Amino acid sequence: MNIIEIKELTKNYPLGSTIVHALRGIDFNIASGDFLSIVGPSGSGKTTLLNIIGCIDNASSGSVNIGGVEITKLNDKEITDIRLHKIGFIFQTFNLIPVLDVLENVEFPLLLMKNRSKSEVKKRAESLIDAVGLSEHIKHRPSELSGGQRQRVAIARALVTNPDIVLADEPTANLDSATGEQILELMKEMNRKEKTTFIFSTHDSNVIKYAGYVLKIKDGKMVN
Amino acid sequence: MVRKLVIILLFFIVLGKEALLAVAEPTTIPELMKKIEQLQEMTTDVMARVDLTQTKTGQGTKKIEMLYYRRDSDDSFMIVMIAPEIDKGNGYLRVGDNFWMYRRNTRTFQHINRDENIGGSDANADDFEKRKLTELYAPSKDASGNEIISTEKLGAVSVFRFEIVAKVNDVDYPKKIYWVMQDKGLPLKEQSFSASGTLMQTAYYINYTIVEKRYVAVKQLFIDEFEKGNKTLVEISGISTKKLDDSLFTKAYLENISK
Amino acid sequence: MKFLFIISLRNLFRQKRRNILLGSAMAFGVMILIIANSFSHGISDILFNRIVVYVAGHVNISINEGKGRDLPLFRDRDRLTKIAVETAGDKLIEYNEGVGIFLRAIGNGKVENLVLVGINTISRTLTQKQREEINESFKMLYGKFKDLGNKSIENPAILSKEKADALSVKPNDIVRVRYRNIYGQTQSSRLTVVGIMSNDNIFMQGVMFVELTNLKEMMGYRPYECGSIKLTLKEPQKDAADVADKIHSALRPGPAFILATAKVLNQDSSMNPDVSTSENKNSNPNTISSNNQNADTSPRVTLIPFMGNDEPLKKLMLSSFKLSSGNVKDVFGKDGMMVSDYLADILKIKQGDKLEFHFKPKFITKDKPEFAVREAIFSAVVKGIFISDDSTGKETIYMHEALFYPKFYENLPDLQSDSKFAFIPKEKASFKPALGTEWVLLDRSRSTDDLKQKLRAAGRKKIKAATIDVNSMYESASDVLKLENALNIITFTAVLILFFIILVGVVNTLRMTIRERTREIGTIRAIGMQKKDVLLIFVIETAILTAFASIAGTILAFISMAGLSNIAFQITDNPMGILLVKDRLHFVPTFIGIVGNIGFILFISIITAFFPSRKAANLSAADALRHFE
Ligand SMILES: Nc1ncnc2c1ncn2[C@@H]1O[C@H](COP(=O)(O)OP(=O)(O)O)[C@@H](O)[C@H]1O
Ligand SMILES: [Mg+2]
Repeated sequence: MNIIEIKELTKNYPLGSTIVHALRGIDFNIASGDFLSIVGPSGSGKTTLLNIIGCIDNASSGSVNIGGVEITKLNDKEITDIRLHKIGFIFQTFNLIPVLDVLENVEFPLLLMKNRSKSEVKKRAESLIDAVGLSEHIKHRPSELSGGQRQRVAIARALVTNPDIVLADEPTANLDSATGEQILELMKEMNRKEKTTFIFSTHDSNVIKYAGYVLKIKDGKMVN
Repeated sequence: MVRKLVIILLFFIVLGKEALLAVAEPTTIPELMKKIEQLQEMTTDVMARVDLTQTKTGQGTKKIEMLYYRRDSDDSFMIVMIAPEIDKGNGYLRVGDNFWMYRRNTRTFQHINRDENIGGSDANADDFEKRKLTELYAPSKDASGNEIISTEKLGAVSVFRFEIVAKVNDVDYPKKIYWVMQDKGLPLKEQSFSASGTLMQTAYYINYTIVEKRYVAVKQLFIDEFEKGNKTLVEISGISTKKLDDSLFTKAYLENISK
Repeated sequence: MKFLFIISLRNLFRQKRRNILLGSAMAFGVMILIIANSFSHGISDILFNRIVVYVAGHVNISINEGKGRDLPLFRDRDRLTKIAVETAGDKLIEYNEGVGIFLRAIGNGKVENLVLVGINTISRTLTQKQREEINESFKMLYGKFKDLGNKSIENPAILSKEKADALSVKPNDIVRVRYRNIYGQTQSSRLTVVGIMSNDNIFMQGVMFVELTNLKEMMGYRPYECGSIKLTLKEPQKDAADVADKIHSALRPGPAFILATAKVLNQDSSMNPDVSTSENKNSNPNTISSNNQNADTSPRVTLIPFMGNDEPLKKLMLSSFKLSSGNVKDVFGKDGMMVSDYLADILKIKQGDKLEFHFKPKFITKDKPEFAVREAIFSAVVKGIFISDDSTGKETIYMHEALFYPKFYENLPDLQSDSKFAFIPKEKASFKPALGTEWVLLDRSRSTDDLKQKLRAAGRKKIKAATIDVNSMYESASDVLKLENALNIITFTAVLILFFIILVGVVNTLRMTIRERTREIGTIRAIGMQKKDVLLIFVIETAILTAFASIAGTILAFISMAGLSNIAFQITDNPMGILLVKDRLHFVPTFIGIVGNIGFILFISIITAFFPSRKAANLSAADALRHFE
């Protein structure tokens, strides 16, 4: 079963008087539970593609269907809801909320869901922190953690809502290679355990080996 | 205070007819009151200089001098202050129903409605309207209903002494006693009493002169019986009963002579 | 919601220096606002409750029965106070008969000008607060306040230390006073000093107090009479105008009349040689028999006043009445009186005859039995005879107001019980508007100028009936109240300053914050936070800052006010001195005022924060995430 179906997707950015064609017609499907890597050089359109799949940017044309929902037709509130419930994000720069400690950062998406009890939220968040191996640092603020630890928190936060898809835009780019590998290992492990679809982008050929499936992209087009 | 005095004073410029009959004995209070009334009746234009000498306990003596003009035809009058220095040039003018106060230093006329109090004083423009003594007062009667009148000697002069009480509410003094010369009917002394019967003021009409066949009390002494030691001497001089020019009773004239 | 609050709160502490700066500016503004507000409330309090109350009352009912001069005299105190008290209802704190006189006082060899004020010590029902206020303003150095009511002492009086010294009198000394009573008569009395007080209120220092009933007697009021009435209200600013309006409409006068028996005065044959009473009686032996029997028991008639001093109304009378004898000028002029043809017939009178009227006054002076008036009597000359009909009434006599009112007021008849027997012309009678009423109610005025003009106009009309004028402090003391507006400008300026602090401060701070946190905004939006929650985070952040600043500002304001009101200003010859209480600035912070101010500040800061916050919320998540500083 395909969790994501993309057809003839294009994305243009206006830049001054010119137009940047970031995506020039992308077609592909992703099956549920995949561990997919989008690979391409810098500026090839990886981030743009992930943003569109992650529902934080909209397509210029084409269709994007996630879990049977055509997202290009939704309004902001609905699309925000899809982000919250179906998608988890892992960022290159970790993007943890600096005023919240580890536990709170992980709880954050659950709290946005509102109708959950406090203890339920805490239990779920703690189990994920445990899973990413940060039980010791539960009360620490992001600034007190190393880059790898921060990215683990980000992984826990991305998975805490039990999303259909986790998107990671160059998750290892800001980490040394050893830590980067640990993070990918962790992601892979989570993909196995939680059966969550993982899509991560990278321009680093070293990390491609972790991918179950690789999508190559160049100048906004898939290359195969 | 000066203002109030001016107003009070106007009642006491007594101009009477010389030709009045000598009063025959015995006489009644109403007859004597009628005579006083007639004395106060003015039937000519008048111009005079009036000097007030006020003595106050602890404050010494203050002299106030003014010129007084009266027009007979409509009872208009004008007063121009000469002294003291601070009041000099200030004046009062009444023509018909209009009453003005002139302040020299501001060169302004303040119009006073007949129904308003004059300046800060408790005198009212209506006070200038002369009401007849007999309209205001009636003879006092003793227990047996007889008028209280007797003959006495005031110094060497034979006088009638009589008491009158107010018929109306709004007079200054509810009770008065007069001493009136038996032969001429001229008042020599007058005592005024408060509602509770306290003597408040004694007036002496010290000196009468005949001007143009009229009696004028040219020297009058008012003694404040409440604030003992306060007294005011009024001296009238330079009386003329010649016809006064109409242009005198105008704001322009008052302003002009006050310069 | 709670966690949005936590995030906002923690965010607030991230940029400590910046927020402390903005917070201090806000706190300063709040402080200024609260001080300004409390000060202007203090001034209001002084104006409304310490000055206006003494000068004019929150609402005052002024009476003038004077003809030409001011005569504050109403002949039926209970009726007037009842109307006032019932109309004001629970908005009223108390009412005072506003009696006070200037007088010249002689103590032991010293003379002083004083104001004598009457205080109702006897029938006063006081609340605890009023009692405290009285005790506060009557700090007795000697004697007791209640001695004013001591009947065994001649006119007990309390005066201020300043005046006691000036008069060099000590307790139990006699002060002789000279003044004019309400009628303008010179009067003198002896007052016994029973108390000496110290008083900080300048208004009180030149005042000597006596019991109200004593003062009223000194002034020439009879016990059932009163002067003008001043009402003190609980919430003067809110209620004064309304209460004045209501009292005004409750004071609409009824028709004035005297129900009297009329007697023909024994006509003096020398004065009227052609008419002798006995002849008259004999020559008409068979006029209406019933009346003939009553020839010496006099008929009951209704005396009705008409407003002859008002030209248009006089004309209305002229055109409505047909005279069978008498000349128009006399009948409708001063002293004018016309008798119905019916009565003229019964009484066998004609023009020029004199009638004597006897009637029962409502109040019989009990206090001086020797003068007790059980029956009021007066006489007047018949100036004409009119042809009566249903509208004019048969047993009626119409009188010029100048003739009628002095008699009417002197011995006020009991109109209510008399109205059963009296003839009162119908409302639709053509001449009704020209008939006199119990009093004349002056229109309500809008301002002091308006009021002065109105009184002048009323004076010109030479109304012989008493006039009643109802004013709230807004008309009678509008000059004083202008000061309040000046103070409101101070407060308004404080608001303006604060507004700019907030506007500039909040907008700037938020813009900086938002720029710094752009990627964070992108992150939380990406994670799934709705726009409105993002907006809320920023608004709450500003609101918390404002709330902290407000609390700090309030505390600062109270500290400053405590400090400021510790400074004693020795202002003696400046009129601004009346704006001090006990030589000190008078601040009256009110809960409502403070809460209102803080609410208002919160409101503007939230509004101000709203726009940049909305801009943040509307950022595209993708753009925000791409943002690097
Ligand atoms: N907001 C934007 N405005 C204009 N051009 C953009 C914007 N975002 C991305 N691009 C352009 O689109 C192309 C694809 O960018 P991106 O998806 O970030 O590439 P990658 O992530 O593979 O490095 C690049 O040429 C980039 O310059
Ligand atoms: Mg990229």
